[in-house]
Amino acid sequence: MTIKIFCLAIALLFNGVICLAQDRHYTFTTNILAPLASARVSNPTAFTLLPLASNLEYGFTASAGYIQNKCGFDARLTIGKANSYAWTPQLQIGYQYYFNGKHLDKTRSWYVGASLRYWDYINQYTHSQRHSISPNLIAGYMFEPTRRLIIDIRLSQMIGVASVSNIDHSRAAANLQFSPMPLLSPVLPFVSFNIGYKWTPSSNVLTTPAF
Amino acid sequence: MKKMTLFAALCCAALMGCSKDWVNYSPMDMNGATLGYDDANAPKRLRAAAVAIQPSATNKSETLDTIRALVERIKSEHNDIQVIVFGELILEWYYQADTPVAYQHHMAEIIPSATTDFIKTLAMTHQVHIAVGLTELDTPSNQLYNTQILLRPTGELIKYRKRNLNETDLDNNIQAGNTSQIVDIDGIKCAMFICSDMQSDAVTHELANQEIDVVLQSLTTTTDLHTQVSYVGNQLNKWIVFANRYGKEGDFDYTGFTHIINPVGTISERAVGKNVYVYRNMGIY
Repeated sequence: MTIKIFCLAIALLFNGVICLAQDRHYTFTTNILAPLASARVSNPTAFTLLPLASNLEYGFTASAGYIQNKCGFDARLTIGKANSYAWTPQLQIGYQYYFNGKHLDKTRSWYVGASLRYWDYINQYTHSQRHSISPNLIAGYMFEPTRRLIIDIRLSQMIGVASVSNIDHSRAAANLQFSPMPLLSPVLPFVSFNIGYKWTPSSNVLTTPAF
Repeated sequence: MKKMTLFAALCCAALMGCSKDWVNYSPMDMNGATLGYDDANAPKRLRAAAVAIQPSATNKSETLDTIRALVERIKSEHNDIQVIVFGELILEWYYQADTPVAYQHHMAEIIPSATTDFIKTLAMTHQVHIAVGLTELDTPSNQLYNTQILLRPTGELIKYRKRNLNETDLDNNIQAGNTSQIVDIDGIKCAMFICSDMQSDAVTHELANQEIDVVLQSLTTTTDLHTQVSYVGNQLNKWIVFANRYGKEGDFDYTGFTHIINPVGTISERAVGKNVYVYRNMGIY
């Protein structure tokens, strides 16, 4: 399993290296459900499940991306609280490979990729911090319903996690992990619905952005 | 401009929700690797067990016999045991849907009682602290409380009344307690704790400010999401002796999952089933 994941990562990296610089686009998006994931929803089931639809991002997320021909890179910064006592700032960096998908004058494309997520679980009452880092596989669909407005629907699947805590006498650990709630589901992907703006420099050779 | 301001205010109100003191749990509370905790060289130790039994709906004597059998079994298997914790309202069903209030009144104990004397005898005979959850009837006020009692090997009885009530408590016409209860067990500071007390932001904050070593938590729950990382463990960052119940009670099916959780939020010991227990020799720094 580890070897297969390693080979997939190498393949994605190889595709990234051979991308030619012709069409360049910059994207700026936000996760529209991240604020709701941080809200004090009274229903406990909804409070537990809603973050699965916000990619486990709580509060506010700002994402900036760069798409060059078929390849893309992005970074996501999230600041917010998972509940009343825990802050969970996050930083994610990712790579995407966009398949061809032209349709008249609209642009849309499926993509696959990988990302690395870092977060700090800060318990503001006990002053404990748990730093974690997790690799994820991602897949998604980005489209442009109107000029420059983009909608990006993304699926993210964690494949492992490593953590370290500031609590005295604690020991760091790393696990192969596909779900934060394995008894609910042993494999649990997260979804995010992102909306934003795509800017295409006027120096691009092609007039129509090509994913 | 006014419309935008009003819209923003409504959004903020919706996002903030009610100001009710209630903590719900999120996937991020359990998201992380299974951290280790080195307590082998800790200067102090507390040997504790958490038990999940199936109580009888109507026959309290049968339930007390089950408690006695588990205490004797734990003592025979772990002669150094210092404290045994049983679940919340463990002398009866947690909720009886047909006549919930009448049922709780019928099963309630006026403390002290023959029932508490039975448990006191167990504690004195086996020289172990025993914590048990029960419904208490306060005679002056005729009000019901969700209470956890601790019987010491000396025979002393200490009680704690649940402060943060959930909907089932309210349906049972339970009244809230208003004080914490910290007990010293052989030099270890322990907090008495019942179920949804952990879902109070104020109680959580209070517990963090007190120099508690161990939380003795009697609870009733079906929320079992992770076998290795505990949301309440990451919330309290203390040793937690987490005792549940087993059995089908109306629409609720309790698996009896019972834990001992270490201060980094890792489930150190876990058992699932009927009349099971977990034991841990906890190192306290």
